Amino acid sequence: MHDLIVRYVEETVRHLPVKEREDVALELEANIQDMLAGDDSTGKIEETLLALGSPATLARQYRGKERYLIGPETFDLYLMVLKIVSLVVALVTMVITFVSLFFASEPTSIGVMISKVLASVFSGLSGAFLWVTITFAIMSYYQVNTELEEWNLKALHSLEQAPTRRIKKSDSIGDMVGLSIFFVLLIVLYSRSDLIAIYRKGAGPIPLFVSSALKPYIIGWMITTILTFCVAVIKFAKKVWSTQLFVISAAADLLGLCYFIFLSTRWHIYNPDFLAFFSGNINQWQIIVKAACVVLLILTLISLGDDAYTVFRRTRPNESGKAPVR
Amino acid sequence: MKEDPILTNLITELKRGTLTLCVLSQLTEPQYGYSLLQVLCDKQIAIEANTLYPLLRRLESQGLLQSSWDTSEARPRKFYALSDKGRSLLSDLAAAWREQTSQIATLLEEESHA
Repeated sequence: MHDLIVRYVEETVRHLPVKEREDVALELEANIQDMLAGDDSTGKIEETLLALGSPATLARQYRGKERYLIGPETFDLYLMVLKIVSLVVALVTMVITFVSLFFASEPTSIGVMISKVLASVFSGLSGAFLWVTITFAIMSYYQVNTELEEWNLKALHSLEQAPTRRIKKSDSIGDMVGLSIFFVLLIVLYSRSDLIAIYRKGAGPIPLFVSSALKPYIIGWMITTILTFCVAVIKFAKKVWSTQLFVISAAADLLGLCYFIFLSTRWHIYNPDFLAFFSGNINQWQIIVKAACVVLLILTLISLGDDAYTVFRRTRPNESGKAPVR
Repeated sequence: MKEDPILTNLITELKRGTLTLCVLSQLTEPQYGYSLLQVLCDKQIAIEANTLYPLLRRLESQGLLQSSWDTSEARPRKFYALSDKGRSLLSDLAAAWREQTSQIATLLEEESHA
């Protein structure tokens, strides 16, 4: 038999289950020979094989079903699970890395800290992607039914009442009021930081801060507060969450948080006399401040997670009269 | 004139749906791959060899065809013919086809009068 035919047949059956190979090979060879109609010149063979098409395509026809990693029927669920898992993994790794760096024995600079957090978040996300994908690939392979429950009209009725991505007016107004009050407090703190102090009878007050050291940091804090205020105004004006708005809002929140952490860990702004009176030594004070920062970090992330859920899982309110996007 | 790709695509889909019916209808007598290809070709049914050969195996695995190797000639050939299940399915499928074509014919008739 001609070499080309042998090679073509072998290349085709290579893609098939082992137990079918021999039978398919025999039949395919016989059919190719018949198609040649006795003319076994190389030209005729080439023409015939060309008409049969690529071995991979032919093998696919023999297999009868398409091969895929994650089938179309599970793809939506896969994307949803991937988003949720990624969000959770990212937040958890971020917090854990932050906390562990914070309480590390050697001090770390902000830059190193951020890069370490980013690195661990990246590796966490890669792992999440890998495992979610592998799980779904296995489910697709074994054709696990992912239709959680029978769809019916009841589901449609409850869908109408689903919460939307609207931003509550009271929320953004509350933000604006709170931030304004906070800004006034910052102004007071800027001019009279010595007001925060321990007042004793018969002796002068001991202020918490070293006024001259604190002042330049307060200006930065005012700027971040103004930025957050602007975001609150934008939220009030837009009324509805969009991905863009979420990114801006999250960035402002994180910036404020980072700035607070940065500020509160400049140890020279605290008055040594106050610390001596209040908690004995600087180390204990540092632990208190760091713990406060961690609590704040966790609270911020929870609120971001809540916003993210609202933005990515809920539907847009249908105001334009067009069909909703999701 | 260049062929309309949408039309070509739709015609291909129409043909794909009727392919099984064509193949089953020609297998009351045993045929092997290439001979069936020629029979269909003679009757103006265009089918690619790379579609027909896998289709025969698939129909066999569904129990509609039964096969036997004929080794009496110089070259061994695998012959396919309708099984009992295939025969009854063919008559049902043919009936469904006739019904559908008559319905579609009515639709098209309405259109030409409109």
